[in-house]
Amino acid sequence: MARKHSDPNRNDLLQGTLDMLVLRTLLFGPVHGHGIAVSIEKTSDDVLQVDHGSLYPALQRLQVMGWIEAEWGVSENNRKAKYYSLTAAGKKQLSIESSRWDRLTEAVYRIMRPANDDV
Amino acid sequence: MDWFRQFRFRLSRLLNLPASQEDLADEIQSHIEIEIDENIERGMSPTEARRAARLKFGSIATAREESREAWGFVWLETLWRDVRLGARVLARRRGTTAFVCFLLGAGIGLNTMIFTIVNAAFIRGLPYEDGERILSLESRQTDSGRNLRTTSIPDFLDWRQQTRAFESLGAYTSTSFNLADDESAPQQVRGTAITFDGFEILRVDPLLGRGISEDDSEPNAEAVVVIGHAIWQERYGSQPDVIGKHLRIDEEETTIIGVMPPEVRFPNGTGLWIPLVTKGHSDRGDRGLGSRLTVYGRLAPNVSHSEAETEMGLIGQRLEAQYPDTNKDFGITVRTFNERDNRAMKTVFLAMLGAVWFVLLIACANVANIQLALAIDRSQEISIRTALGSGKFRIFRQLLVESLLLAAAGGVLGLLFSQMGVHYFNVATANMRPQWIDYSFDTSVFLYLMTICISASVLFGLAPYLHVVKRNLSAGLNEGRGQTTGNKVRGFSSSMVAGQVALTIVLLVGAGLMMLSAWNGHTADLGAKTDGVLSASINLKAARYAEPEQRFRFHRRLLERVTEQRFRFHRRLLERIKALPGVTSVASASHEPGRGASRAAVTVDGTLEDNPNQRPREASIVVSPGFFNLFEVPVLEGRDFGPSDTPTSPKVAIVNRRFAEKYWQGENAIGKRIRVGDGSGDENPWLEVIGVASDVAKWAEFGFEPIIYRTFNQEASGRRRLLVRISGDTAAVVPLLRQTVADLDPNLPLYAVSLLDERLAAEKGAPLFAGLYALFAFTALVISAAGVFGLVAYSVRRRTSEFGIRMALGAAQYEILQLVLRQGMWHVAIGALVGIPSAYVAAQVIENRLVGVSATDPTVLASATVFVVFIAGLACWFPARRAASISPATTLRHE
Repeated sequence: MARKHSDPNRNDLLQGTLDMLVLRTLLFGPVHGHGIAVSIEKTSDDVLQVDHGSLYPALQRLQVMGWIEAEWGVSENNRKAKYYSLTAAGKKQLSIESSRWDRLTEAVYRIMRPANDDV
Repeated sequence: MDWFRQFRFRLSRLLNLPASQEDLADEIQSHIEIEIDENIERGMSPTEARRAARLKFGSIATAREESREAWGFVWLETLWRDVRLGARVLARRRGTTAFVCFLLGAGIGLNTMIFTIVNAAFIRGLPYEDGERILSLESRQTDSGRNLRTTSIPDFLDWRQQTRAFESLGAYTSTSFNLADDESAPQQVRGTAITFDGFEILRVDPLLGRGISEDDSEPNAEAVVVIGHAIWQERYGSQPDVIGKHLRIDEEETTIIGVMPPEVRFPNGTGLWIPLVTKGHSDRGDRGLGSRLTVYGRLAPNVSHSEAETEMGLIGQRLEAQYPDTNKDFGITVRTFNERDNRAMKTVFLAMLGAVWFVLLIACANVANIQLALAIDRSQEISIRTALGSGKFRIFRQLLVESLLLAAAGGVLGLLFSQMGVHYFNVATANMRPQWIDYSFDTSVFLYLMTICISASVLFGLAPYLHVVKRNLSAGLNEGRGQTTGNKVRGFSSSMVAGQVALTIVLLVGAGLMMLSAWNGHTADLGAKTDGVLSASINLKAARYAEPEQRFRFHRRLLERVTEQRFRFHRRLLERIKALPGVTSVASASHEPGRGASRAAVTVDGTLEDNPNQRPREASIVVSPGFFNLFEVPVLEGRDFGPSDTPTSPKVAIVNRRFAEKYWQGENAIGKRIRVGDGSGDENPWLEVIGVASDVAKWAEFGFEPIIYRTFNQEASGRRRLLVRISGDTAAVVPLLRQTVADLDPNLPLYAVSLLDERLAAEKGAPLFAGLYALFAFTALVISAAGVFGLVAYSVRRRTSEFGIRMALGAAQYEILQLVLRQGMWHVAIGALVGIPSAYVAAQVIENRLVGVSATDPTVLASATVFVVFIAGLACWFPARRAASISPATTLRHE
């Protein structure tokens, strides 16, 4: 069976990267879905545009993996919202993914740097 | 565990699917509303804010669908799609599906039925709490390896005292009792004298009152009885005030102390229980062969069967050393009740299990062929699906789901068949099997059913898949329907068919042997004329027929002596019966012709055997004078028993011809001396042989054996069957018979009254088993005939255009006929070549159950083979004729 992938144009981020960013955002405490999206955009100075809709499959995936937990709460402007928080397994996963990310960016940098020098 | 947490999360979502979806919808809604709020704060108009928020979020439906996928139901949904698709495919080819379901139902049904029976007779324990931990203990003669089934009282007491492997040991001995009281008619009941802890070992409690206590088992205690549910119902109308009432058991005034629940009939169809008195026996020196008790015990916690066996082995050796006179060469056997009582049937049942496995294999082979043919027909469909991106796994799963659906339907049908079969078997064997056997459906049967369903479906589901994988899938698109398929596929189908033929021959030979053997048993010459003989039991063992000094409590020692009184009563009874209208002659015997005999150790004068254990054991029957006349059995030499043989006259015996031939070949048997007895002391008197009678069978099925006849005029044994030859109506004589007995002794019940021929017919197991075998063989034959037919018909269908061309080029009809027949019969011939030696080997298994026919009987082997080949030939003939009768023009247009 061919697995249905989400539309590649819709999501500017690599799938694994979005998961990592979500985990990273939750490191400082529980945040609701909207908050996560806004936080990623703001922290990246609006460079990373999160398609809000694509956030939810990622949140479900992370819950299935047991890396985050959810609980209903009330938002700062008095709306009902679901708050996500990191689990112990999630923290461990975050450190794994960030070190992998470091290795990846370093490797990409090593390749790209000489090209820049040539210009 | 990660996978466990994931599984739990998914499961909780799955179980609360609507709630989870609503939760997700709420969350998305709140997300959008927060965005709207923020947009308004940024100064947008509400409409604009809403639009921007929606835009930012993207498709809500996609977000929800992808979230749902993340929960992991996709596989479930795909499975459901597969099931629906499979069901549609199966429904489209309704005829084939029904046929396949029937094949599987037959195979699975027979299998489950036989397994249910095997499970009940060999695997399950007694029907009590942890019943599989209750074991039977017996004395064993170590030199001959013979299990005695019973044990002497002193040995039992020593075992009980010394064992640690068993929680405790109980013992019982069963016999028939005459029941009487002042209210109801006298009644004959099978009763058991049981040790006081006998019920505790079984973990059963009385329904009313109490069980047997240690005090009840003291030698001088008041006589008490625990009655079974049946007696309580029939005799006392289920009245609760039955406790404390009095009942005369063999003339002894006995108090009822308890009522057992209906399911308790331990050990086997028992109606009442009295205390077994074991005290005061230790010094009697009747260890060893003086065995009376059946011993059983419950394993102590954490002790295994083999550990108990080891311990009892040591105890046996210790007793051998301690009592060499009586216990030399005696060991102890520890086995389950099933092993003890059903062992004789083991080969028959295992052979049946093997047979039904063959039937199932044949059915599966057939279904595999059908599935394969369908897969080939669907090559195009499958090729297209592969070309469109379906993976091999996807196609395999689809085919497997189809197979599982078929297996499920076959399983349900099989369950239905098996339940019907078990019910029939249960009713048919009610008189032949131990009463505790319970054929109900249990977990092991269920697991067995599931296992064969699943393995069967994988087995035949795999065949078409392997074909699909082996084929070059893209080639299917280029191929029309009529082309030949790969040699491998054809080879597979052919070997399946050959295998079916071989297995069918094996089964048919088995069935033929069993049927012939049953027929031999049925028509076997008993050596006695049994038609028109009425048979009824009486039991003269009650205290009144024994002399006062020999009035042991009945359960203390079951040996009684002939008395003048009993002798006279018996003679008077026979005289009165003979005078009844419609009665032509009358006699009595301990065993009727063809219904067994007791076995006794025999000493033949002149061939004295020192070791009592080594003495030959021969059949012994006690009869009244007139027995041989009644059955028209000629006394070949010497004389019949007569009135001159009395308790005080010299002891005499008659032997049959087999006995005389075995021990005194060629010599005159008259005047020879024999001694009959269990060897525990030589007090048994010598008997003088006064006659040689013509042979009468001990068991109808097993031919003639040596038999010794003694006479009631001189022998104990109170239980006897009255044999009355009648002319005319049975129904008219029976009440007269009852009245005659009641006139002489109102406390004496007359029971089990029936025509001897009916009794002989009722207890034959052989026809039942032969019938079952015939059923297996017939099923196998039908299935393999269908298999051969299917293969040939299919090949004809695929080669239609080829035949058309051949005919157009001038081939005659008979040549086409020949071509198809040759191809079909080739497989059959290979099957027969494999089947004949296999049948020859397989028949050895049932060799010792056969009567009057050898397992290697060439006629049976030949006729079974010819029959199978003939049926297979017919199965080839029909499609072959169709191939030959189609006109070339039509076949060429077939494409």
